[in-house]
Amino acid sequence: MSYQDDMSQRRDAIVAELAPRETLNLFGASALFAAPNSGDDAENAAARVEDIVLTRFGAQSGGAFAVASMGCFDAFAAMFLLCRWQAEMTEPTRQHIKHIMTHNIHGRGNTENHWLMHYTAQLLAAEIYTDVDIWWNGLPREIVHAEATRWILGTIDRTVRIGHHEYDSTDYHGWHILPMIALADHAQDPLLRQRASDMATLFIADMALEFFKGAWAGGHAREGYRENTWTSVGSSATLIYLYFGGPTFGSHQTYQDMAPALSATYQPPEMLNAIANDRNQPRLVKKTKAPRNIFRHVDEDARPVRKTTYTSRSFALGTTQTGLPGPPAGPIDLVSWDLSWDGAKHEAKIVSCHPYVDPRRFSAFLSELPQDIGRSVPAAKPYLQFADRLFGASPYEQMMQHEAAAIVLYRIPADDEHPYVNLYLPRSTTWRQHDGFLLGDAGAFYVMLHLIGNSTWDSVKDADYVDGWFVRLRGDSVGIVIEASEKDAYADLDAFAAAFTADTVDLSNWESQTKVGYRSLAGDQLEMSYNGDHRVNETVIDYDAWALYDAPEASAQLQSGVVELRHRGESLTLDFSVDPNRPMLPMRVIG
Amino acid sequence: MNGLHDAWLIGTHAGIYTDAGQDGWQRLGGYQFAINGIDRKHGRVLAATGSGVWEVRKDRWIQRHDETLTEVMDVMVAGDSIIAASAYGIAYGRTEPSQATRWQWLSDSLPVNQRFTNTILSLGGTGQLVGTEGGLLVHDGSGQFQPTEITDGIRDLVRFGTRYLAATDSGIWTSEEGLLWQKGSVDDGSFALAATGDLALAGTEDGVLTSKDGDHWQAARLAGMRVCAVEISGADPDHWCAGGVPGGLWISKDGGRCWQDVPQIPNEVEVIRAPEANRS
Repeated sequence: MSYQDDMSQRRDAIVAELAPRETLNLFGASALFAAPNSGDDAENAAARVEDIVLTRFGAQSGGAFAVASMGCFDAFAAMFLLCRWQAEMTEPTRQHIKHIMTHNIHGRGNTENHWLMHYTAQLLAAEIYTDVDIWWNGLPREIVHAEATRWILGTIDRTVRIGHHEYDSTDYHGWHILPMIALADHAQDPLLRQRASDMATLFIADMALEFFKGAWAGGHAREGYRENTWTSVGSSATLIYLYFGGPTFGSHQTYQDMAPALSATYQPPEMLNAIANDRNQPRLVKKTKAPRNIFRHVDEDARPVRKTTYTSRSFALGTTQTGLPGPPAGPIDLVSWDLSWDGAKHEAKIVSCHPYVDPRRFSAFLSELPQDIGRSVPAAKPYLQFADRLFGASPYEQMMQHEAAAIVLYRIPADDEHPYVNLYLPRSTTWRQHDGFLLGDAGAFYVMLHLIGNSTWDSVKDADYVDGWFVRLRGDSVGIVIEASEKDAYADLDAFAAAFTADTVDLSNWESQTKVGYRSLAGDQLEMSYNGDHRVNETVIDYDAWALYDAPEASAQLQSGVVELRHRGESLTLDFSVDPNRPMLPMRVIG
Repeated sequence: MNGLHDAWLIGTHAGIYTDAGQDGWQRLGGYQFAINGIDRKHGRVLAATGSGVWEVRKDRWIQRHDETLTEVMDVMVAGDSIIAASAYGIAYGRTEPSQATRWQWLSDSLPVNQRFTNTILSLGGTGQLVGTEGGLLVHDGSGQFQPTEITDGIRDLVRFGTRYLAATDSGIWTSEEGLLWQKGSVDDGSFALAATGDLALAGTEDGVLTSKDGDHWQAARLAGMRVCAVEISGADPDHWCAGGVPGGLWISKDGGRCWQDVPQIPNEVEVIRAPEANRS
């Protein structure tokens, strides 16, 4: 069966699950049109879509001069729906969308995916409603179109020169891909259509490079909301399943907000599916991503993000150099590292986190009053301050990685509100403690953890969000050394355990010089200094020399705007024709 | 004139409210942007919002930002330019004949914490006082910034007679000309200032303070409330307004002895402007 046939089957399975739902939103409405229709069914679909659009799009607010205010999600969903299915819509549906898009108040939001959806919706609307001279914001339609074009092209230019800002977000990557698909399919300007198509391909390639048997392994700019111990997370899970397949099909793979992708003309190159599913040989993926947008409480700008993800046949280990400029900068839903494998929810991730809660971590990138933000943000999202949190960056966490081994270190001030580190371990893994090493049999592979500092075991069950063992590392100087190995490299767990001896981990300079050494299973010598160099076999890792993409299947130099994708003799070049001397669009969104 | 010159304007976390007479306080349209600052001159009203700069009119607000301007903390008109203070620094905007307003950024070379600008105040001529998270700067109007001795976060600036006042995280400071500053008697974090004639008000972490000279301050109630906006009516110096974050809008008609809250405004209040027609 061809890739297209495979994908069509998965598409049909998602549509079949979505279309009968009684509650669909403006994104999910497209599934009604995408479902196979007979004559009556088509009329019913149009009627249901009309009901969804008229009741959900642009609800009125009170007040003598009130017009509706609304969000970028709705505006983008409605415009994508209109562009794809206007011939099947009823006239009231079309007119309602036109009225709301040109007369209501549109919120731009404050994240990169918000702005991308906002400007995509405004651009598409400005190209369709050419009989409307003055837009909802009091500006001529041409001005709205020009602003949207500048931001979209500027953001693409920026992304392919220094890396995606809201990078590799399991929660939000889908809302980067969908606008690019919408523009590729429906924008009028051929150049913009081509740029958007290539950008959609690159965003899907980002997923393919670190896809691991249904999961998106390693570090993510945003993987919050207590979901980062799951196998399938966020909006990306549905697109991952659609484009690459996966071991499971369920509610995580049928997220209705991704429904517009099911009936899009744009389809990713087949090569990306091959890249995503070829995990027979160990491989290393290195990426550079844009610096975090920290706008106060520090003097220096953040440095670029550098990601490392190693995949083997049975596991994937990914870590991040977050480039943060120091306390209190700690993006609230950044996940810096994890070990992922093929398994059920809660049972196939190892991850650690210092649950940093200084409220200035909010005001470092949100403009609310610092004195008030510690009340206002957690009031809406209390889990951001949970003591058992496993997501969210800490300014006191640093790490290095070499292939399947990593060192993760923490130097937490004694007066920190949460002076400890949470380490999550799945319950179904068989654990053994042996001579200071924690050894796990995860089915297809073994994993070793060496815990630095005092630890206590606990258990956590937070509804269906988190369910596993918690090991709490207490103290101001703690850390984790971790390495995984395929099972066939050792006769059994005893043999794996025997590979680790008293001199495997060198902590002799940890307290005095904040330096940890580790001899990997392959005999490589890792040496990590907190706030200092990271060395492998005495050679310093030069993060500043990293490319935009450096993987067996992808390469691109910083500022080049040219990305080469390849797999087993096939290749694809995405050339965004950037001018490295042209000033970049300033980054004005959080994430 | 757009009918807003004689209205109280209350900037909240979800739009601007005005006093609509018998109808009470009403939000100006469906615009629910977070309002951080309001500039009103000769009936023209500009709002500094979390989503850019908007020219406020009773019927429809006009967008005055572009794709580079957001998280605007304060705004003021200077000649044919608009000056915006934002989380990303100071920018000058010019509205083109096409109606597009394009922005030029001036503080990109400053350290991160000094780019984040909470408040600006004209020094006369082309210069401004620039209140940032990293202290108070003097801007010459062309991108050159001179630091002052105040290095704490600056929350508000006001002209009080011939002097300048600065509300900061470490209290209230005074200056004769804007470059040299002296710390006053207030040590609490201070967030808002208002002045008219020989009366100044300050909003602080612990309620409202009042002063006759800018150096010596007395409590004027609302103790326990973080007051982030204060204003004095130009027509009646005993008519004061204060905004709590949290706490909403409070009004005193007797010089701060009795305060009454306004339940029609349920949001945090960041800025208050008295009717322009009554300002001295």
